[in-house]
Amino acid sequence: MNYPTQDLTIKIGKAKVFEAQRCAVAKIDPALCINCGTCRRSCPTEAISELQRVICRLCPDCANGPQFFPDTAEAYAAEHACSIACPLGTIPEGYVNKIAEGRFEEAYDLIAELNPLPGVCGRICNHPCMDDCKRGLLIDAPLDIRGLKRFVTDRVAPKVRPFIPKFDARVAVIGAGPAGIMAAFDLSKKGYQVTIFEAGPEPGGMMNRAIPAFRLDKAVLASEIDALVAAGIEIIYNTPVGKNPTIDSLLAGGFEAVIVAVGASKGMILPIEGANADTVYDAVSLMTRINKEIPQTATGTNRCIAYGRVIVIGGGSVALDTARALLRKGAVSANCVCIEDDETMPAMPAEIADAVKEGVVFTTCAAPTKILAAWTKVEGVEFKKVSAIECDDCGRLRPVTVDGTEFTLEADTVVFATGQKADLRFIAKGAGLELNAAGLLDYDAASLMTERVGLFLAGDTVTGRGSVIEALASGRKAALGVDNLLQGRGLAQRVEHTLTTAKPAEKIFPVMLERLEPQVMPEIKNRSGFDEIELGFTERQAILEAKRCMKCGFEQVDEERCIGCGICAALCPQNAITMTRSAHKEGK
Amino acid sequence: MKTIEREVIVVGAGPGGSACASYLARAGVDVLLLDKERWPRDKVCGDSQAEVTMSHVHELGAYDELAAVGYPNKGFLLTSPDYQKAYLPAPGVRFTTPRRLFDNIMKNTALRHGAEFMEECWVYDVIKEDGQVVGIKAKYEGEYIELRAKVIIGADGAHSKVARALGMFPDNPPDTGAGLRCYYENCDHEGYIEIHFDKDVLPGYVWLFPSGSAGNNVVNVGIGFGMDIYKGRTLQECIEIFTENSPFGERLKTARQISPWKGWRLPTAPQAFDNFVAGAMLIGDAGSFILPLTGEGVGPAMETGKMAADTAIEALEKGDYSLETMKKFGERWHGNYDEKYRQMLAMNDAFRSPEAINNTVQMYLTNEAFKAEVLKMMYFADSKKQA
Repeated sequence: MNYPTQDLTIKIGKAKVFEAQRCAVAKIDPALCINCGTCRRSCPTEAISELQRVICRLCPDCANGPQFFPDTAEAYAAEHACSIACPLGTIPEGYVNKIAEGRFEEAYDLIAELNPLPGVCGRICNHPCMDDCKRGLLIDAPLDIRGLKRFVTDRVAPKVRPFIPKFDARVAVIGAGPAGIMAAFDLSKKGYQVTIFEAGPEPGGMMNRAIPAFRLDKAVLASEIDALVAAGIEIIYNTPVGKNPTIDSLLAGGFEAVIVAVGASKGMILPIEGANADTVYDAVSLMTRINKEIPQTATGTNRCIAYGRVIVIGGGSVALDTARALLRKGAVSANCVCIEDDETMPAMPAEIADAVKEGVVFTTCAAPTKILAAWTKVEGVEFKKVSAIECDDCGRLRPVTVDGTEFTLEADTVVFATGQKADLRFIAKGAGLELNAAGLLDYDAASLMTERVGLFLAGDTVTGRGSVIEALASGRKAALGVDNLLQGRGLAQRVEHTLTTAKPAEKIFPVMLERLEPQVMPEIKNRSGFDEIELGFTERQAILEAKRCMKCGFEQVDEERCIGCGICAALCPQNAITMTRSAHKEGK
Repeated sequence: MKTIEREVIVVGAGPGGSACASYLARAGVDVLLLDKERWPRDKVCGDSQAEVTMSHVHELGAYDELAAVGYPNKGFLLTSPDYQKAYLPAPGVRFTTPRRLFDNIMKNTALRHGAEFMEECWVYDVIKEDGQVVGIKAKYEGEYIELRAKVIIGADGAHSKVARALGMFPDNPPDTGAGLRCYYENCDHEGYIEIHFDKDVLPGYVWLFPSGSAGNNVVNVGIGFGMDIYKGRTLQECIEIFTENSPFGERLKTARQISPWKGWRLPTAPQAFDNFVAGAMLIGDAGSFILPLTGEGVGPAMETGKMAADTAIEALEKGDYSLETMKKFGERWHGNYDEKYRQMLAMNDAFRSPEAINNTVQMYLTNEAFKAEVLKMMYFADSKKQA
């Protein structure tokens, strides 16, 4: 049968032009679309884009959020969404709506498509998606997207989906932390052969060493990495790259590209008076020791130092984790002292609440000036009140202290959780590069490639003191940079994912939504051990929570760009895409 | 999944749905009335029961109940941007009653006529088979259920789920408004329901309706606006400016606000050309039947409720629920309302300019023939049906 065809000229970006013929165009049913992004990622001509429904917030009494005029609401729709909040590019709506339908396996597949560590992220991600959830911003409370992700990973075991090598090119990744694993995952999926060199005996980096077991069950991390190894990623342990092998020898010895994802693994102790006393620790080495001491997720080991009264200096996740871990290890008290105030403290509010529940005390707006240690052991710490925080050239925070506000807190143990340093000296030396003033390597922001062609950076060597999700995201970026380099595409980034506002006919009215209360995840009662605190949603809870999704986003096909290939329709997990005969315009 | 089956299901137990269910039940139809709220419930409204509404109240035998709680108002009092007053005394008895009371009376009337009622039942989708609506999906007592019927009547208001599911949910900015209201007590009034075309609020208007027989001079104060012009200022700010600047708003300074501001969506003037499909009809706000200019929605809702009931009864007699039969519903409302909507839309457009309102009010005050014409439009056209 002869279908009428249309000649098309499709431009992608600035350079690429397609000449194509089509006899059909894809149409997406907005009612069925769950905005998982599968079609958008698969589209060869970038014809599919995401639309965001406007939420009506005109009347003062309709919901808890701010009131909007129609115009403002329209602009707001495209500015805030879970789908653009995640640095990794995860689109929560897809798997959340699969959970709402009770299709947990499919939900897992949607997550695992983009994220090699879903179980880890389901537990410890700082969830920027939830901070930008429109339900939270405009209606009542955000969906517990992280909790839902965790539920699925608790339900469905990691699957081994072998990577199929397509290219002869081999890529080396240095460091088996989140950034390294992410880069290896993306490159393996693209068809490269990847080897990870890990300095230590275990994978996971900071996820393994710094994060305590009561927040992240180490068995989850291990099983997810095991699945990746089984799928074809090679990890070589106990091999610190720098001296032997060097970057030079890797690049000369069969690896086409090297990604440095060694992280900022060195804890720092501020050089103040008395900081060299006994019982002054940096958080990373202390946490590494504690994580090794405890048998995985079992309670009640006593074979450890008596920490006494603990002062943790710092207000981030690491500081809180350390304080909470030390309380579990028998510390008499734990006081977190940070230079920020209550509102700007970098730790997540939920974490702070948990820490308070467990007995951690907070002292804000204070900077340590002196550690009091008359004998060998710490006796206390002297602080000064902070009036402002400035940022220096290297991006470090410097508190402005007020004279005459000195006060002393008694302590037996002091832990510095004031940031971590990357040690790139050997890497730089072995690659023939110089470190910059901040002790890091210079790189191209778009591709994360250093001045040495083929040498890329990822993770905390780029982002400084990042979260797990940011580390993962930079791993993805570096992998894309490597792919572009090896495929000779130059180092251009792909087009950013942007949102457009949907037509008024798609508007969401809060009063039309099913009334569902936010679900509260059950927690264990006994918080003294190293068992995970959060128990995860039950099936019923997960479905009810997932149903709270307002489905703000959906995909739309640009008919001018669609070439009618049908790939999206074949891949759509919702069968929401139909290939229809195009509105054929004769003579155009 | 639990399934319930009835002859007709009316979604939404507001005045439109209740009137429709009453007429159906009176004719002996097995009708189920659903509502998502727990009753009695409040609704943002001016609370006025105008002539059309009163005719249905009479016909369904709810007059005595309403008269016991309603405030008998004398008719409209319109004021122009140059602060001239025009009284439009009403020929018959009309009430203003808080919707919490009025809607409950109408719902109970439907039950008295024999309709069955399920409250706290959230309808989220329709069931379509071969292009024909055969039922709805709902959540009731925490369970997801299916309700099947020969005819589904969507009376679920301005945020109609049924209309959305049928693809008939219109949101055209010029024809969709927003209303905001609250109650004040100790506010003087002359017994008229007042509409103020204030220069600071135009092209919206402020209403001030004495409401209920509770005493304390309780008034229902509200403001209505078209969506296309609603920019830059919240409705609440408009009321504050009105209170500050208008001689008619001055009273609100000494009166006491006794309830929070609440808002609602007002879809006017049938935006979907035909509000029916095979097996289903949309009435009242769900079909965007609100009158332009006055923003009255209860009258048209009960009117279209009766039309839908008549159409459903005919369909049941014939045993035919196709689009062809449902067309009767369209013919009924087009026949009765087209002229009125046209008039009102024209006036609505004209009333965007303060001069036009000033001139109209001036003419009403000086020209007897014009006055008679206006009164006929506001009251007689409706009360004719009552006779």
